[in-house]
Amino acid sequence: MSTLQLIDVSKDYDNRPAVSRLTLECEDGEFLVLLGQSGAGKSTTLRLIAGIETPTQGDIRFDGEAVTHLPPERRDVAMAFESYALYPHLTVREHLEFPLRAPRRRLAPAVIAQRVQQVAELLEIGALLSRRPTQLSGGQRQRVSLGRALVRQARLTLLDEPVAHLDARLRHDLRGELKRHQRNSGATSIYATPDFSEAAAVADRIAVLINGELRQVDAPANVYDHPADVDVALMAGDLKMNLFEADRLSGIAPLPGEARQVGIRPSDIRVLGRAEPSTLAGKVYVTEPMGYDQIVRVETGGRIATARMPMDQERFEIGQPVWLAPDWRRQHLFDGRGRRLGTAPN
Amino acid sequence: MTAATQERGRTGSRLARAALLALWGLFAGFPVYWMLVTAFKQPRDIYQGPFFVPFLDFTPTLRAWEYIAGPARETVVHGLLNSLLFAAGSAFIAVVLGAFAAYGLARYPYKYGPYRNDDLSLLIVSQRIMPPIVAVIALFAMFRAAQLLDTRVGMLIAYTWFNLPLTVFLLTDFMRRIPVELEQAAALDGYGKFAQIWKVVLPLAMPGLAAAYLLSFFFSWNDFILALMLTFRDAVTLPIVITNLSAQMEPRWWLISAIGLIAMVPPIVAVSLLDRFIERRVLHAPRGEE
Repeated sequence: MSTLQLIDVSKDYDNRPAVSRLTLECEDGEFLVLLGQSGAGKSTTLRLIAGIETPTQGDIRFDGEAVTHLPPERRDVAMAFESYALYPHLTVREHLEFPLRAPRRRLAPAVIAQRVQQVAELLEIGALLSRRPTQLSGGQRQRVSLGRALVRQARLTLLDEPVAHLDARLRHDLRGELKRHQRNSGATSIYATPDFSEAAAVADRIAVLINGELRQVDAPANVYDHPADVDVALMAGDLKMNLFEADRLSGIAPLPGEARQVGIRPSDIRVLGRAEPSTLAGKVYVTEPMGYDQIVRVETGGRIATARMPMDQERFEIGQPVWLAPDWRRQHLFDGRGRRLGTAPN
Repeated sequence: MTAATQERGRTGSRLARAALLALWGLFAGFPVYWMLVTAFKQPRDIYQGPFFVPFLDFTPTLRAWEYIAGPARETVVHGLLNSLLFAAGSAFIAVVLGAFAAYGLARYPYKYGPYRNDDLSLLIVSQRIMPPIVAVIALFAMFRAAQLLDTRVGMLIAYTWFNLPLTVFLLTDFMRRIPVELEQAAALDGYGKFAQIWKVVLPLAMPGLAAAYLLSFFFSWNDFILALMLTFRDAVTLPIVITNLSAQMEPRWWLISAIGLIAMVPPIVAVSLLDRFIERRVLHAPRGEE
C-alpha cells in the first residue's frame, strides 16, 4: 500500500502525445478510477505507473520516492491487463502462485497455498485451478487475470478495464466484489474504464481523461453534478447529457450572457403532451421502455434530445408532437471554450 | 449433379488420393526396404539380383554385421560418436544462439546504416542461399590458418555456422508470435528480464526450439561436403566412414547398407524424443476471444 504521485507526466508515441502533463495524486488505500474513452490515455497512464512505459517527461513517485526509472519488477505493482495476458503454459493455480513465487518474494509454501485459496474463493475460480487458459471461457480468463493481480498485496493494484468483455450481470456482480475486496484489503487501486456508472459504482474519486489530458479529479457525485467542462459532462452519466445552443433558448430560459451551451441531463427533462411556458416543441423520435424507466428521444430543432422519465408517467407514440420541459434549475452552463460557468445547481 | 454422380465423384477422388499415397509410400519406403535387405545379402545376391524377398529369393547372411562388429568396429564407432557429437552439439549451440538472436530481432528495433530488423534477418538467411560448396574452400583456408582442420572443435564450429541462419530465421517468427504482454505481466509479477525469458518465453517457444533443433540435427547428421573437406582422420563422421569403407574396390553395398541402417537410428530417436514438444498445444489467442 502506497501513495502515488504523477507529477507533470507526459508520454509521446512517435511525437504524438498519448498523455500530456498529467499531475495526479492518489492517497494510500484510495480507489481511484481513470475514466476516459478508448485512446484517451488510460492504459498508457497505467503502463507508466507500472513501469512498462517510461514517461517522456515528468516524475512518478510512490510514497514520495521517485520510481520513474525503476523497471516494473522492482516497483511492486500488480496489474490486471485488459487482454488478460495469461500464460498459456501455466494452470490457473500456477498463475495465482506465479507472483508469490517471484525471486524477490519467496513466501513459505503454506502462505502461498493460503493466499491462492483466498483469491480463488473471492473470484469463484476454485474449481478451475488445474485448468489452462485455453480451457477457460472469456469471463473465467478475466477472473484469473484479476486473481493474479489481487493475490499479493502490492503497493499499487492497477486494473485495466477489469470487467470489460463480461456480460452485464457478471460485470455488476464482479465490480461489487472488487470494491468490497479493495475496502477490506485497503489496497491502493487504480481502475481504468470507459463506463461512468461503473466508475461511479467503485470509485472514491474519478479522474477524467480526455485526449490524454486530465480534465477533472473529483468524487463521483461532483463529477456528475459539477462537470468541469462540456467533454467531462458528456462522459459522465450512462445517458449522454443534452446540449442546447444558448441562442436557441433565448426567450425560453433565463441565461447569463457569456453562456454558449446549455446542458440538461435526460433525467432533468420531462416530456409533455401539450404546450406550456418555457418548453421546447418537438416530435417523438423513438421511445424505449426500460422496465422501471422509459427513455423518450425527441426530435427538436433538427437534433435528438433524450429524456428519461418513470414508466408510470404518460406514454408517447413515435411521431407524436410533444413539448420538452427541462428543469432549468438543474441546467449546466458552458462558455465558448466549453468550460463550466458559475456554481453548480443543486 | 445427381446423387449417383456425386457418389462416383467421391469414390473417384478417394481412389486418386489412395493412388497418390501409395506412389509416395513406394518412393519413401522402398529405399529403406532395399537398404534393409541389402544389409543381409551376399555380394553374389547383390550383383546377380535384383532379389527382393529374403528366404525366398536369397538366403540372408550376417556377413556385413560381422565385419562391422569385428575389423571395422573401431572405425565405425569412432565415426558414429563424432557424428553424434557434431549433430547433437552443433544443433544445441545453434538453437541457443539462434534463440537469443531471434529474441533480439523480434523484440528490439535495430538500425545499422540502412539495415533494419527485416534486412538483418534476410542477411542472416542469405547465408543459406548459396550451396555450402561455395564457402567450403574459404572455410578450408580459414580452418587451416586457425589450426581447426580435422578437429572436433572445428567441426562443431563449422556445423554451428551452417545451422545458425536457419535457427535464427525459424525462431524469429516464433518469438514474434509470443505476445509481449506476457513478458510485461511477468515483469509486474516480479520477474527480471532473464527470468521472464526463462519462465515465459522459452516454454512458449518450445515447439519452435524443438523443430529448429531437429532440422539442425538432421543437416549436420547428413552432411557430407563439410566433413569431406575439413576432416581426414580424427574428426571424420559416419558418412565419410561409409565412403572410406567402400572406396578401395567396387562399392561394398552390403556394408554401406548396414551402416546406413545404423545411421538411421539417432535421427529417429531424436524425432521421437522431441516430437511431443512440437505439438502446438501452448499458444492461444492473446485476447482470449475464441
